[in-house]
Amino acid sequence: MSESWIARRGPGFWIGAILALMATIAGLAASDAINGPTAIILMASTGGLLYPLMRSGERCEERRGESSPAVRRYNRGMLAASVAYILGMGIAVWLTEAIGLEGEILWVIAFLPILPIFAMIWVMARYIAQEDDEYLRHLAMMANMGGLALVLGVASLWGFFEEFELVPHAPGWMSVPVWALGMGLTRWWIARGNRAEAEA
Amino acid sequence: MKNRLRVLRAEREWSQQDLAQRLDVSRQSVNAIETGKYDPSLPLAFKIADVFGLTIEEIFLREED
Repeated sequence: MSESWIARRGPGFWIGAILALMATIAGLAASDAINGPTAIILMASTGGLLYPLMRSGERCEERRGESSPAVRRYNRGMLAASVAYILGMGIAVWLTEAIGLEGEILWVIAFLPILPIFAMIWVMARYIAQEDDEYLRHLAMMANMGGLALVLGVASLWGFFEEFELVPHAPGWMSVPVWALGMGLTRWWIARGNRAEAEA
Repeated sequence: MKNRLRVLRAEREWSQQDLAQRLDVSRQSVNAIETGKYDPSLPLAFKIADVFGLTIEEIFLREED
């Protein structure tokens, strides 16, 4: 696989590849074709595709004129935290399910995926503090507001549904993926508006 | 807030990227200001005025103007 072939792939390709791999591994694990620890190791290895995803995202940002030194630091910080999160979660699940650890040690194990999440929040805060380009900072703030709105909306809605036993229990850690989804949707919405304006 | 950024840039035959480099901002910032999607802060408005050698009032216009 040549560098240029990799370089031509957009973020959608890498997101699709990661999701397809995860679905395949989950399918193999569900059908008992592979055991639990193998599934965890394979799932964790999909984290290797986060680097080409980040690079393709950076190329898009450069093309759209949305790049800056702070953006590049943010991308690398988020990549490192995401890899640590995948590894932390994989190790934590493996230690509890495959090894069967119990007791006080679970407090320590639980922190393996929690610390990378705190790191993601810190990377975001550092980006907003370090971004010199006020419009890019404004975009990041809008995206964060979108993420916050989705988390508060979904958590409140789900919480009350759950209270009346209409839906199953949702784990609290889901708030981070929902926050990220809200940020992504807000960025997409703003970019869509800018494109429409440019074409008008 | 309306502005004359696109006209002033065209008069000097600058691309958005040229202006962005002069202002030390991203091209997307220039685009957002030009299209009226984002109003710059006062320090950035002064910087834009300095780059064009004009006053802020000669570049940025009140909506009723």
